[in-house]
Amino acid sequence: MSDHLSEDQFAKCILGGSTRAELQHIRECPECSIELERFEKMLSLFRTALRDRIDDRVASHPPDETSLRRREAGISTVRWAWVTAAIVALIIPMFMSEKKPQKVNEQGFTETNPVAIMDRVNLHLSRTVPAPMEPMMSLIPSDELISNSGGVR
Amino acid sequence: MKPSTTSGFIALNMGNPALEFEDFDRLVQQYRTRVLRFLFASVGDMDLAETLTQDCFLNAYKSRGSFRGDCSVHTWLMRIAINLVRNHTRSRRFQFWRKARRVDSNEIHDWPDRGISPEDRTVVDEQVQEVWEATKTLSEKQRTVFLLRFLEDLDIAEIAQSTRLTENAVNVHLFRAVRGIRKRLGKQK
Repeated sequence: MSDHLSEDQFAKCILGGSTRAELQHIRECPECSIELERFEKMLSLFRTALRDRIDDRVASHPPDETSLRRREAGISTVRWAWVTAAIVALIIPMFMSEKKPQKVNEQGFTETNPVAIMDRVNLHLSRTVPAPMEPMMSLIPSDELISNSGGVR
Repeated sequence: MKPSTTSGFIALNMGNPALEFEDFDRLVQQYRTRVLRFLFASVGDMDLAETLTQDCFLNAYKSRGSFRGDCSVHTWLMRIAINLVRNHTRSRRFQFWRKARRVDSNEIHDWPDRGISPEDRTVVDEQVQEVWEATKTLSEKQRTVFLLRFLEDLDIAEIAQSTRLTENAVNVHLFRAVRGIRKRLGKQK
């Protein structure tokens, strides 16, 4: 069995969670105290090196405030572009749907011959149901079909 | 009267952190170094760290309305920075590791000259690189809590707020991180 601190005890010691006995051991054992000091020094060097590096970077590259605003503005522009595209996508179908009946009307009133107009009026008046309802008539069973299937008149 | 210096501004608003958002430029000046440092240590690439730092402040600016002041602005910014690192490593995991390995040799030897001898500098470079390399072998959470504790000097409660972990979970990750780094560095021969 080793007389020195285990890796778990070292980790606890570095994080400040050592027991009194462990602290006592570190004070009395040169090997463990040197090892602890070495590791803490490496962490300290790492921290100092990174801090110095970033301090120098920040000093030589001041914050680009305009860049942040540009990006914020850029996002707004993109957002507005999407909104505009959505509005256009909504308006175009509405505009197209309004155009269609106009086309029908235009076609309906292109007749100039009075006889042809009268024929169309007669055709319209002779309909048993209004023109838009004609497709519905196919759903209603005819008399023949009702009698063949034994239906009641 | 409105203070003219950043320190005066922050000092004036210490009681109400939400007020710090009133002057966003000063907030950027105040916290940029710390955010950039954490991001650089996390991703190992200065250009990428600068971009993520901008993203961090941009996100903070956009969501400043949701900041209630229940933690410090620094903690809140760190939370945003951690999310950015997480998103980045998840979306570009392979590119990240490939690039991180590639830039190590360039970034690590680019420390500022602090008047130390070339021999000492070589030793320092090696030791810093060893620790940095060791942090890359840790899991994402272990690395994050390690950097927040040993680079940013945050206490356990602040790390818990930044990472949205419990204090017990932070202690466990920190313990494993230190053990992992010691294992990686090895004992002195």
